[in-house]
Amino acid sequence: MTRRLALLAALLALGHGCALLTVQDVSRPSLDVQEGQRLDDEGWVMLVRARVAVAARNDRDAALFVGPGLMVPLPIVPLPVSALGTPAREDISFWIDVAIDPEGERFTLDPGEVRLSIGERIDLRPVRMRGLAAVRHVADRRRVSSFCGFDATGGPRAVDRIAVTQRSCVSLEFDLPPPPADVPFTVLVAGLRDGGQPVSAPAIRFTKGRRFRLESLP
Amino acid sequence: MAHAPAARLVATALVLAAVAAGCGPKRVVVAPDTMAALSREPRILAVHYYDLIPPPPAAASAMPAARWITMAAPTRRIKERFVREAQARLGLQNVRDVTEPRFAYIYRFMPEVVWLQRTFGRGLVLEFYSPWRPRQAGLREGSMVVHGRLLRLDDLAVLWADTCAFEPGTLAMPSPEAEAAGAEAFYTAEALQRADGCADALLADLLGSRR
Repeated sequence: MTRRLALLAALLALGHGCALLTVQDVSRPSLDVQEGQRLDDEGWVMLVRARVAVAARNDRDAALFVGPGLMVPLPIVPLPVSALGTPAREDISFWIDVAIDPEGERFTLDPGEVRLSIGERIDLRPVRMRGLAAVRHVADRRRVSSFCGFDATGGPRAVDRIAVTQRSCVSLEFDLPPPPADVPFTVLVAGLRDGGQPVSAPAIRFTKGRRFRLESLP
Repeated sequence: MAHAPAARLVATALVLAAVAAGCGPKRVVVAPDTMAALSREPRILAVHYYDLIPPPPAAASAMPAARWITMAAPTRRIKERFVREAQARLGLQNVRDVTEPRFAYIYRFMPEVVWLQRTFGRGLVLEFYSPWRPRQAGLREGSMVVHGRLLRLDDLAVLWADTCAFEPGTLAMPSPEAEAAGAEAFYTAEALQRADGCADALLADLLGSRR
């Protein structure tokens, strides 16, 4: 029923004007089988008295298609990726969102201990941070590139230890350009403590994935 | 330019009608045995939610006459006044004021209680929440609404719920430093007095002396 309503809504939305299909290359999180843990349906990794989820902000538009959207959307005409003015991502740094859902009030995170590893040679710690922020509501965290929402703290600041007393999110900046999605990397959320005791988290591996987004154009 | 009085009246009526129509918590009258047991509770937590989306800083050289902000009622202040008065009138020694604001994860117009349960576990919580509204600092604005609830985290029961509203009047244009304190900086002294009255009205409802 819900699927039919969604389909009907999509048809109505696309009934006027054009349909735009965006294909994005994204880095999708997963866990190694030998870790003995898995991501749940919302992208959370279960830890002792906490859950964490990680998203990488390195998504890039790979292809665009546009076409008529009357009754049935037919985005069949390819466009250059630059057609919508997608900003160049090469010159800016790489941001990774870490969401934490703690049980209790005694959790802390030292973001300076979070590690980004690319291949065998690059092993980085964050240089700046944003947050704490609210965790955005998304249906499936494995299919989004960011999930830090409302941020009461303002702009980026130096990396500092924070108390995590509620479900919240922190964005971490790494000093390198966002890697292309076909470059695998891992993120290790170290530095999480419950009442001073370290809480170990598995390394989250990111590999190339695809995301499709269908929108209407006026 | 200030809103016309009629427009303010209509806006206030719409807000109150929305609350009355169920777009917010339904009023729950506290049971006498719950009130009698309050002082024997191991602890009662008092929480509030973030009440301001930090606006982008305005350049001092080009300070506009008015600017849009997204804000709520000054819930920290309302909570603190409510708790102070409740402690005085009920002799409660077991209230713990949680100073860090909570993120409101909304479900059906109100914060989901399950997130308080996940953080605090069990026991009673006095919760103060005001929905964010787009407002213009520097202009006269419509009513602000505050929802107060007494929650039991063990079973997520709502033991008491009531709503109050107050007129914020013309919102102030605070300095960027003052904005860091939250929504309270945007209210004039007179408006904050009306917000205090809102806290008093909520407490009167809890004590059964308002209606």
